[in-house]
Amino acid sequence: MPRETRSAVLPDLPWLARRRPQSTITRIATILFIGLLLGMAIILGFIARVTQGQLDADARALILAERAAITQAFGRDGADSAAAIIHGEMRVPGPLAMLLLDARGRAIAGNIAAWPADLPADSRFRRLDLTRKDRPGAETFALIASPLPDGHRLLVGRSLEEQERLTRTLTTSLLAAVGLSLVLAVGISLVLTRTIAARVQAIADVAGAVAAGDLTRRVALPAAGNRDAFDSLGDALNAMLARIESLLDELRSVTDGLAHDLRSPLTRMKARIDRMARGGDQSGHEIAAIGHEADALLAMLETSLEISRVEAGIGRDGFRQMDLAALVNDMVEMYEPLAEDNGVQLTALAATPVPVHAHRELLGRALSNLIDNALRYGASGGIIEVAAEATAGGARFSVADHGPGIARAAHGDALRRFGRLDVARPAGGAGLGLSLAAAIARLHGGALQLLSNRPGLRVTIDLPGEG
Amino acid sequence: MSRILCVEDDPTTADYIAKGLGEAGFAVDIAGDGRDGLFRASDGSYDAIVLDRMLPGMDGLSVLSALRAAGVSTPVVMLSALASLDERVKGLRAGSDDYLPKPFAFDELLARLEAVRRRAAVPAAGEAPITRLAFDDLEVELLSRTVTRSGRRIELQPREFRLLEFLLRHAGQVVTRTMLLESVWDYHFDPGTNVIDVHVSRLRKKLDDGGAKPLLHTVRGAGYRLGEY
Repeated sequence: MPRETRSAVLPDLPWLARRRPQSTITRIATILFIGLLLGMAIILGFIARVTQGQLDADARALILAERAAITQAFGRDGADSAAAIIHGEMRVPGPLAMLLLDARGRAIAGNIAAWPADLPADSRFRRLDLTRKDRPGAETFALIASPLPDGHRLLVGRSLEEQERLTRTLTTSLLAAVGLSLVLAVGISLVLTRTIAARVQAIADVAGAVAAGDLTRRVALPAAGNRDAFDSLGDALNAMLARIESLLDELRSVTDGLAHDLRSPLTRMKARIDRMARGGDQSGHEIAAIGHEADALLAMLETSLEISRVEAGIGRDGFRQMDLAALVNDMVEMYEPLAEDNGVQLTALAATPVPVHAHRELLGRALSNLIDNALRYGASGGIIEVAAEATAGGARFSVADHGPGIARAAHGDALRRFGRLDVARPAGGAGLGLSLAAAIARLHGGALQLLSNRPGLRVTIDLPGEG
Repeated sequence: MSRILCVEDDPTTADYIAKGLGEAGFAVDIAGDGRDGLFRASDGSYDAIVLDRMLPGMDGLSVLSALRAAGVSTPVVMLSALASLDERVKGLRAGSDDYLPKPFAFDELLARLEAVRRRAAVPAAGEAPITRLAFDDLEVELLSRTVTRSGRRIELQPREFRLLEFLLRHAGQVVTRTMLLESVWDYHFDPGTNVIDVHVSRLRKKLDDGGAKPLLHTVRGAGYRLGEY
């Protein structure tokens, strides 16, 4: 008992058509902003660190050199000599701050008014705000206070104003960077998202239109070359839409064909049942006839379902390595007695093995359909040849008869499902055999072709090789 | 009397199968879903099981796998509306002895049920392989591939020989066209035309040539039977 599978109702897709990607702009801008800011901060921080380190080292070297000179002079010639050096240094304006005190705390030389409160003379580097006599306002100094012999004390410092200036400059630069990156981030993301949004919207519009029922809409694409990711997406979408459209067309024609082909046997069945209901005397015969009609209908539905399964790609996992020539010989052997009874000479032209990777059962079914068709419609030609051969691109098998053939213009109709060429043809078969064979060829990545056999019909199926 | 378990959720189909099998001389129990079917089948007391592929609760494949895992080797014929070749392979892999697509002719089911029952009755291992098959005055040597009837040698094509071998192994049973196609040709589709009939009638002509009584009979609407009448 077949279970019904209810197809999902298409959901309403308002976001496809309406929602604009505003939040995307904000998100991209934020990410860009943070990224730019971080980058600038890292670069500025690195510069500040390196420069500051260098300046610090320079300042200390200068301080130590001055202290050494003064200490040396003091040791050699006493406080006056040291004071002379300090006076010498003070004569030219510079970054230095100096103060020499005697044992009682009186200033001997230097450009600082007073010894800073609580500054011990312990020869350690310190950072302190001092005011020089010849300068307005306090400055920050790196300094060292050292004891000298006889209770003298010496202070040597270097102004750090340059470093302070550098820090201020760096801070200003960082702030400017924040502002700049904000502007850049917003600008770039606006441009980016505008572009992306426009491209996406174009594709979304097409999808929305198709969802709304207009199956003919397609994404506009550049003529050639320069394809970006969006063009690929559009391309893929277009291919998908084309496939959907052709499947729907196919479905429509199948449904129409099925309805059409079901009508006559069902009408005949109904007529027989009516006759029986009126009390016909041949009810045994009528029931058998109804049974045959039902069998034919079931076979038709089964084949139709098989085509659908094959077209849906079901069966690919059944592919195995097999010999096409062996298949041809098998089928010819199977049909040979029947052909002989119909006065047809059925010949296999498949002497050498033709290895293929394929679904043995489905290929067998395709071949059996082709031979069946040839016997049905081409028997008058007397000879039917079934061949298998390896080709440059893979493998090919064919069934060729010498019957009346099919006019070139009618080839398309012959391949269509339910496309029976002559409705009045006495033998059954709803024209499904050929379309099943074609579907099986497509499942294998191959193609079925109808060719003229001069006279007669030659049906070939080409299968691609490995890879 | 042979006992058959029919696991089928559709009452109409279950009834149809039970009635037909009853007329054919079987005692039939019906289970309406997979769990009940598994429960009844798990003691291995049935001679064969007709198992629907799609059942509520526990589907046919699961029932079958559970049975085989539990060591129950009762022959199973699986019925399914999933008729494609690949579904068939899945069913056989899961451990069913035969797979019959729905809708099916009752005679087809009966013939296949007989065949799997018979196959299960033959001990598979430990015995010397059969080298000679005989029925009435017909004798077949499997190794030398010679066929004689009342001592008269009959020449057969290789395929005809395999056809005869299959019919002899199922002597007295009805074998259907699709069973022949599956076993002798190893294809599982229905060629639709009377391809098989022509092969059988050729074989029949060779067997019955010389006025002996006919051994190969056509069973109307079902298939063929090798038998005395």
